Amino acid sequence: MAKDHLLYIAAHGYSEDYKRFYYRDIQAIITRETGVREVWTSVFVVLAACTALIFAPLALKSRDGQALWIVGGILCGILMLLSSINLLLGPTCATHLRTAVQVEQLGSLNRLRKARKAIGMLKPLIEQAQGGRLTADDIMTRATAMADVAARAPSYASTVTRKPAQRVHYAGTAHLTLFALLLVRTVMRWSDFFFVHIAKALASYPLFIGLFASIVIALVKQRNSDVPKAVQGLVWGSLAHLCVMFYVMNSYFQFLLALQLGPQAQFDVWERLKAVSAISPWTNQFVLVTDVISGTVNVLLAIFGLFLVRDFRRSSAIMAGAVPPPAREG
Amino acid sequence: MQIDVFPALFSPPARGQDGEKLLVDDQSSCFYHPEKKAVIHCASCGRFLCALCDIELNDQHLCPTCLETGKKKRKLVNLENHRVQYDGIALSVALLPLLIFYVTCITAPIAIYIAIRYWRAPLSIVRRTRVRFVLAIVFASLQIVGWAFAIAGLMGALS
Repeated sequence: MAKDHLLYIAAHGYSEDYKRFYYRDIQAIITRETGVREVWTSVFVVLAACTALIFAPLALKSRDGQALWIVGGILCGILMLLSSINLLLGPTCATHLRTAVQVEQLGSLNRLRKARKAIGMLKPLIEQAQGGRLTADDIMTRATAMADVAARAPSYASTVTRKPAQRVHYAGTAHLTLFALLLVRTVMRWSDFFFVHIAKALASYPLFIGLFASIVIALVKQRNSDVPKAVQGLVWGSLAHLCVMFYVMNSYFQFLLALQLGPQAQFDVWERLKAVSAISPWTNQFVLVTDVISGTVNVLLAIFGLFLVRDFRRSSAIMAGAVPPPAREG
Repeated sequence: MQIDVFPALFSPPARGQDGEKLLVDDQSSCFYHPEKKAVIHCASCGRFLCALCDIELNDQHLCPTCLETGKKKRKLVNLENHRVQYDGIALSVALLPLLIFYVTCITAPIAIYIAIRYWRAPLSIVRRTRVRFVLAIVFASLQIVGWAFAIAGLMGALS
């Protein structure tokens, strides 16, 4: 907060953008509670529960149960700690600042407590710059007068019009590729129930990289495009699922290989690959559970995604006039 | 929901000034609009300006050209709306590659180059010190020294 303006800094990694809002120009500050805190709390609790459900049965059945209890306990503890911190920080909110030409969201004021404190500091400065504060009667009187003016001269209100956000048409090719690769990955994972082979383990690496790359491309392409929100959500869901499964499986295999292979063989890439490729879901409960869950999620994401993208492409083609609309009965 | 309203919400928008037309020949005219009467001069270049060309910023009256120049050359701090944090980049280039240790032989010199090349570049508006540059140089130098020892040891083992 400077003497005559509020400096808003938006940090983007290694660069910053600055916007200055002069106190004399600020018309209103709007604070609205959001449910982001509850969402994140639910995410942390569900992840902790999943971690406990995965590690507890393994620890009970395993000979080296103590190590698994410790690892599982640490992971659950970290997740519950994050959840507690999230709860202690208080309710979340969205804060917007309005001037004559813009409504800007102040992203850093995303907690109600922090936002109220900041607004408490800003209000006297703004009121001083604008020559006084408004009482409730003042607001009612002026709002009524403004409404009368607007009713008598509607063209004034309509001169400032907002252009709708420009949306680029996108055919959804990257999304089709992504959902197709998800199906391929599911087939590969579920084929472990029939046979395991080192070639499949080798093929899974480029498939994973291709899947990740297609997610990134789909996310970039769908930005500011006319791809339906449902499809966009499925892409984000695929990314979240991929990250969670990568984290879970990688952690588990690191732990398992440390037990199975000796300290020297652990750093031998070929030995590690052979050991991982030999793991069958019929002999390992953890892999069985994750194969079933992951495969089911992949199939659901892929099928919904493929259907939605197919419908989107059809409707886009009809709108473009390339395909005649389906004939209506009656 | 909480809405804090201020008097500016009910104030009509300020009308811009068009500039008065020049009626008498012996009056000064605007440099950019010869048919308009000059009301003030630019604090930076001294050119006469009409009410339309006069831009008031930080209690100074400037012409559009000086405003644009001041923004490009970063002389007008209030107009600066973007900065790159080279100190953060240098420190990240020095530290992050440690995760994939072998690339530090390439990234350590790069980190030192970035720190020296952009030492005088403006830092973040809120951050004041160059400690990240110093840390980047220190960590990168340690990595280079480590590589030197490793190579010397390897050469000694080979010979």
